[in-house]
Amino acid sequence: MASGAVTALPTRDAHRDPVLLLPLAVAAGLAVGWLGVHERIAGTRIAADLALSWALIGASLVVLERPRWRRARWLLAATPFALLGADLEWASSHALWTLGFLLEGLWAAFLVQLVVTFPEGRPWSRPARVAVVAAYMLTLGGQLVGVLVAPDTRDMLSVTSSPSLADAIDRAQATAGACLAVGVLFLALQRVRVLGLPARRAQGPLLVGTAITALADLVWLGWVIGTRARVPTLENTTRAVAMTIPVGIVIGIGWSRLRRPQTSELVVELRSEVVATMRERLARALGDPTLDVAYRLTHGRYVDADGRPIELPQQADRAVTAVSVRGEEIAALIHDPALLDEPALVESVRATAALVIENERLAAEVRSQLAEVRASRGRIVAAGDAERRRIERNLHDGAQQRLVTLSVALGLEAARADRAAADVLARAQDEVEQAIGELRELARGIHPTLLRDEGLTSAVEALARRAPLPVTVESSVQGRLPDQIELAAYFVVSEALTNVVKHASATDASVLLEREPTTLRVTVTDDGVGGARITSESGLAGLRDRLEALDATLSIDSEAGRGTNVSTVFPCGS
Amino acid sequence: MRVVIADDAPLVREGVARLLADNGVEVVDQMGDADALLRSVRDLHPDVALVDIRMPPTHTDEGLQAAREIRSSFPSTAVLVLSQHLEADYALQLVEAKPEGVGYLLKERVGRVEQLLDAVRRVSAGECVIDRAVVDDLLARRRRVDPLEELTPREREILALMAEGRSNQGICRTLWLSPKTVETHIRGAFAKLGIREAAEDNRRVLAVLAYLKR
Repeated sequence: MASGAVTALPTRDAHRDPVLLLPLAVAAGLAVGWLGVHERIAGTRIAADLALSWALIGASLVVLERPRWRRARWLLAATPFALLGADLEWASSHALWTLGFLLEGLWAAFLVQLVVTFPEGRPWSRPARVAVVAAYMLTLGGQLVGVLVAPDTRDMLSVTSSPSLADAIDRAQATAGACLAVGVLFLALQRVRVLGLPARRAQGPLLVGTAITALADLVWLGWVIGTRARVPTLENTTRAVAMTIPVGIVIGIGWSRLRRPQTSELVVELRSEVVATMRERLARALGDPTLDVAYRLTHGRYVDADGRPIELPQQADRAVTAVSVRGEEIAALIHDPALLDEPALVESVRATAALVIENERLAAEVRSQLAEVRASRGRIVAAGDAERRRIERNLHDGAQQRLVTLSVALGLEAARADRAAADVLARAQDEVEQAIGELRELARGIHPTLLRDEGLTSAVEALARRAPLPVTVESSVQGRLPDQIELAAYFVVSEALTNVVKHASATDASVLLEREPTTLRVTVTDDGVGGARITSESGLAGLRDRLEALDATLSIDSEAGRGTNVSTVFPCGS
Repeated sequence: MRVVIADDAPLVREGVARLLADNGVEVVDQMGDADALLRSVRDLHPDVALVDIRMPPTHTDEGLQAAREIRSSFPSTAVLVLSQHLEADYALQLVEAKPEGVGYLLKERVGRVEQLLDAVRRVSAGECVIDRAVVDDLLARRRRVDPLEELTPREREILALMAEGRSNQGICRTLWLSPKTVETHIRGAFAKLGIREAAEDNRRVLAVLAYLKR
């Protein structure tokens, strides 16, 4: 079951690195630069485009260290070529111009896809998927329509040259682009909210960059819609602002790296006594507050530090990393999948923590066995109680019923017997009544009917009434408590009162039943000679298993000459 | 007098029926559970229902519940509950709502035909009947400060009879005393215990039982 969910740590894969793109990008940049200068394009524009392109290429190289971000890496590498392709519009060649026109917005669509599928290449959500499709339709689709009517002599695909139509398409594109920018802005803000702490560290700066870029786009597109003029300064600024996206990615990686402690610090952290549990220490070391440690027991079950069984998660939003010592799995770390992006960190924690975890695991195993012993004791006591009930019922409905039948028969005979026979029958009747009375006492000791029917207070009051010394009862118990607790509390009072009668030479005693939100406290006090202890023959000692099965604690305060106080506390939720 | 008998032990049921029949009580129906009992009471309007406290399905206190149901839905039928339990709580539960035409008798009394007949007659006359053993159990309780010790033996005896549900007339008959003497003793006992005298005999039972159970 569990082993299928445990992922091995991803190894650093270096295949098909986009390192080769580096010279290509430099060459493309130089070509664009030459083209710009040749066509007398403003230097600021050339500089903005080159800066954004090389920032994207640089980010794609930094992302190399995150094996799971492969698709983001290719998008980062492809975007600059789309951007430089759009700059072909500067060329006087008709073919290059037309190609440049068609590619004009593609880079923006690439960026939208990059951010809303970051980091693993899958859209975050359904709205994110819609945003990607919209971005491509808007840019590629819009330019395909636009090229048919563009009022430019270099346009090789022109059907008709219509400045007004071209202007309308331009404005529609700008309006839709503004809507898309708002959408992406919302997506980014929402993403920040849902991310776990480790992921927020790695992806937060990118999301901030995305938000800034979306806002800058809104300003620029708003200007285009309002004034129908493309102001070069604004356009260049927008491209420069878009650099916050690749820069954000790089900052995110750097930030989560800074968080990565050195191995020696890890050892200190993991051995620190400041935070109590292994779970908290690992959570701190890995910077993931949601982290859980599952210790693997010998038969392959997993338990938490307290020995409670836990299941390894199967969902995609949790990741599981196995910790092994000498090839044997001893524990599993359940954590935020974003930590898989920091294999070196997880690996060093795993190596450092293994020994400490092994100790914890042995402790967890002992706790788990203790819990089993306790549960089994609980089952034994419960089975004993069920047996007591059965015997009590058999006494009432079996033996006692037969004696009553006998009593009725004696009554019938007595009515028609002669005097001498009637005397014998009357004596027999007395015997039967006595037997019924003794059977009743026996049944009450085994399982008191009143306790079952009316609850603890009534049953304890009845006990007190029958005691051969004055016993006062005060109770704040209302309603019923779990059967096992009622029965144990009843027996505690019964045994304690028996001791008072036998040993204490007391003149009176009192019973206090206190119901608090999470406990039931039962106190039996007398004014006798004191000096009482629980010996192995004492009835209270016989209740030990029953009390321990319920996690109850019994204490005796019995100084010589000062009476005895027997107090039992049962954990008991509401 | 017409009675019905509900007990899930057929031998007990039939024996009691014969005992009653031999003494001139008409047993009009017998049954083994509470549902059949309620149907029978509804259809036959008996004077008294004798009800076993433990009956199917749970064998706990079905008889008590049926008794309460009969007293509230069919007031013309008195109920005598036959119980295995020597516990004042059950007896009080039975009588505290309306201490009239209702009784709590230990089951072994069915062998003593005169005690059984006495109880049946008293509940059918609207009295309240509490088994003597239940009252003795309450009287035997040890108290730190015990006003019962102040009572004369006669007053104590009369208090017990009141707790059993006897009327003044019944007490007179039992103890061979004049009504006047009995009333004097009752006033004396109540004054010592601090119980306020109730006009009605049946209310008086509750006051005495509540005092003793305290």
